[in-house]
Amino acid sequence: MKNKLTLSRIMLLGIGITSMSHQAHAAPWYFNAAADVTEGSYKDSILRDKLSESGITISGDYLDQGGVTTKYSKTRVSMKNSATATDQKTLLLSGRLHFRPDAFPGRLTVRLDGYRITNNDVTADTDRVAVVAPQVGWLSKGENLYVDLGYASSRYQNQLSVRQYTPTIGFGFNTGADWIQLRSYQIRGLNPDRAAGKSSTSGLDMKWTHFFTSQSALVPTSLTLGVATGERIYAVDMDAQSIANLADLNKGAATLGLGWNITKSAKLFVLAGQSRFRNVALSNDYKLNVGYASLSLDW
Amino acid sequence: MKLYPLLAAVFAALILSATSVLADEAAWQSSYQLEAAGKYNEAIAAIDQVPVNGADAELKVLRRGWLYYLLGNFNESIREYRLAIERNNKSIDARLGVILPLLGQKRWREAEQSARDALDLAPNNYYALLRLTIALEAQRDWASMAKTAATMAAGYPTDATAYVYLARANAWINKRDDAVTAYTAVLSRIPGHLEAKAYLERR
Repeated sequence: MKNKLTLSRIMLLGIGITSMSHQAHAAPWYFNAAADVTEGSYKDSILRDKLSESGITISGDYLDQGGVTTKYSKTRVSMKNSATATDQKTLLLSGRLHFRPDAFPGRLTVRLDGYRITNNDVTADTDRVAVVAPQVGWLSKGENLYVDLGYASSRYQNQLSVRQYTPTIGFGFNTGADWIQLRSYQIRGLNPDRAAGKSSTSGLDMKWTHFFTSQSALVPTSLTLGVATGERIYAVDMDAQSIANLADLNKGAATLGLGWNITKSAKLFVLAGQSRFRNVALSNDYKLNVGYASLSLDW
Repeated sequence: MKLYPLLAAVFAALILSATSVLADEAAWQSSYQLEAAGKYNEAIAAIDQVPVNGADAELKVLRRGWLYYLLGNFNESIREYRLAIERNNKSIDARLGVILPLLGQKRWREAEQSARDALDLAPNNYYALLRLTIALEAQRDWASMAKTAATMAAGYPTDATAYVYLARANAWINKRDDAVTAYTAVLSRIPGHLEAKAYLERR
């Protein structure tokens, strides 16, 4: 029996722990807590040295009807030449509702994310950022087709607002053992003075996930390859639920992720990747190499 | 002389009542016949005339829940079955019935909860155990699935389906000997069972 598809890790709903007795009732609420850490190193950057981030995410879902998620993360970008590091805090609150219209069988999900970012940016350009990001998604009944349309409205200080549209399509094949997702990032309304000379950017994210059927806890349950092409700036990552408010112009990325089901309730996900950036003002092309790990627990 | 209008009124009431009963019987008959013919919308419409607060009101709601399920109109089916539960919270029929559209919509946790509610009323009810097992399998809760399937097999030892689910669950949790035993039991009940033969031949 192949592992049926799920979507990105954000779309995964934790599998609740049910009582061992069939006479006992399943709890209507089930929860997931995850702790994640990211360590990155900049290569060929004139200004930036390292990136560190840590966060905790807690989700609660009510039966099959919807849920809420809250996430708190801290980020530090250390700079070269003894320049002051950027310290940032991000708070996310997200809610989702699921519907199952008989007219088009499957699951329709309406989601709304809200972010608040604060940091020590003395210019305030990247400080006190507020983002509202709704998304409507539909997963077919056979769980082999997914589409969504996301929108994000980001408000920055000092005359910058960003609109982002993220149409997405995903489909499964190989009897659900493989999944491909394509997400377009169309970012509009940019102030060129604040956005590397751009008034808009276009980019495309492609991810392929393969699910393994081994029952050994040592063998990964999933492998994900990701490639990002095109350009984006101030992007809102609808899967990772993060905001690239500190980043320069992103010119592409590649990632490799592995997931393990350590136990029925505990999951580990690790990812390594490289992103390419351009600081237009300094004509500086550089890379960010990152390692990411997340440990989650369902109950 | 005053007696005659009274008698006439009573007689008319009796006639009307009998007519109504006969009409309801005809409506039910028509509904069952239309269902057998696969005409589910018409089968629902055939019992529209059955009073919503009469003696068969509960039956009407249950039947509508079933027919909407057959139509694939799962939301309406769930609504009707939940209405039936509100009317009669001891109705095993309603609690069993609502599980089907929930499974149809892949609302596994709600289906599990409804199956457990049914088992509260009717411990070891076969259909409640079976539908609970299906919901647990969909959630990949192998340990609970194995326990439920074992209960089903203990209560219905002639039933092959119970052993199929028991074998699957044991296979997923690497209890290979137990999986072999269960699949062997399947073949005793359904010789040539494809899934059982495939697993045993791989071993």
